[in-house]
Amino acid sequence: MDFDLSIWAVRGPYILQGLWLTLALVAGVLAISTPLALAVGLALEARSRWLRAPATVLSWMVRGVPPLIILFIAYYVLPIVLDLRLESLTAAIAGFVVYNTFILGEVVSAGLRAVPKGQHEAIAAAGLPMTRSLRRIVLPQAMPSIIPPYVSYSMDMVKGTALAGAIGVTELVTRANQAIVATNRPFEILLGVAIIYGVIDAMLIAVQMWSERRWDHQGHVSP
Amino acid sequence: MFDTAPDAPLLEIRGIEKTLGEQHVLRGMDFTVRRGEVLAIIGASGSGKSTLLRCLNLLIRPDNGRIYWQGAEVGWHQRGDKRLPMAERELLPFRTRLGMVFQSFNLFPHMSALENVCEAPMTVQHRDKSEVRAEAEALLAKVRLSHRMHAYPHQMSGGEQQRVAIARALAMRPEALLFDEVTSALDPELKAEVLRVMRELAEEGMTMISVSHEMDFVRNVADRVIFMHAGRIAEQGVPAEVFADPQTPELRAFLGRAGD
Repeated sequence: MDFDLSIWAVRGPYILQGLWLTLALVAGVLAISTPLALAVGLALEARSRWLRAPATVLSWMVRGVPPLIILFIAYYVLPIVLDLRLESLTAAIAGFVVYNTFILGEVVSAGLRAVPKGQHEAIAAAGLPMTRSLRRIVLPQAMPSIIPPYVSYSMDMVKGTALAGAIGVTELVTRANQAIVATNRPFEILLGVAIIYGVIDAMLIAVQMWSERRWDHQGHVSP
Repeated sequence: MFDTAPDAPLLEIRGIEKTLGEQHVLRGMDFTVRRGEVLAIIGASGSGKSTLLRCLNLLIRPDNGRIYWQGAEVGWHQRGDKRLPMAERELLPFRTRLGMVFQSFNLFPHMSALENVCEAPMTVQHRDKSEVRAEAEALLAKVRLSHRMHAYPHQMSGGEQQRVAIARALAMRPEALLFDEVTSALDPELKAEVLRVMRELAEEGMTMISVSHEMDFVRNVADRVIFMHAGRIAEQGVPAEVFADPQTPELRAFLGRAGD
């Protein structure tokens, strides 16, 4: 078998244009779904059942649907319902945002549940107002349990962006596939693509390590 | 916020009942606490002591009964014949007047001792930062922790954490303090330093309601003791008299066990 990486000199620029689409997709989806996930997580743990019940039901529904179907809904159904024209990148971001908001919302809710009950009692007994103590006391303690699954799901999402090819977003994998068909050089091209994904994952792991240090309180209450 | 009456007892509870799940934990409790009084609540595990304490500041909302703070009812609004529960945020001013210290300390683990003490007065009472800080330092000195001001909870012993928790409760300038078995999680030598702080508070005239297993503390510091059994007050009175002459077989059995 001959192995010739020089194929990247010819096809590289075209494939790498797909990388920018992939990164734009990841950045856009994380930037929009992170604050939404926080809201969903808080709704899932809310005292009021009028917040909790709809959030729980919606979360079951959205997480139960394959992401590819959500993308199809965003691309084909949404424009009909809203009577507008959606570019495939916009539709992909919308679809992934919906899916990710509830996946990450469950991560936030699990993190909030990991904060010991005694902390909530201490907050209430001191007469501390809820919104402010959420930000100053509860969330900082939830962060260590939120970060690892948050990053882990984000990695899944990075790899899942390849699905956007199905609705016409010519991201990294779509372009790599086109190049394979044109050149019959699958090994060289897939190796390059794998390395690119590896670099993105490494960057996310770096973010995880940094934020775990940032939020490390060296264990919770130790009697 | 409250229509208080100066002559009324600081805290008065009437007919408090609470069912948790299947368990009828409190079956009608009545008592009053005067300003400056130290009330101890004793009883076997499961007799409802901790539930009762949490009903007093409405961390747990009783199913029945009334709570009066200086003569004004808290927890419910009376609207004609209807009683409407107060919203959580309406309870905040009441809770700041009634501090609480917990068995498991419940310090905020990501804040230093000083930050733990400053948090509530700064965010609730919006007092001046330097004034709050000076007062917090004085409170930590009072509980003999001046040298641990910048330590985090995980760096402190249980006894130190509990003394920070007492300073934190005092920082709101409360009119009474609730203590929920605050020495139960501590080794004997660490207990002593916490009990010493509590004794000093009592001598200064702080109103205290303490669920406790420390019979020496109850005997020597409390003005009055309530013995709870099966969700009711089984006996009450001056500790020395109650302990010397228990009227119920339950208290006799309890004192026998506590003497071990």
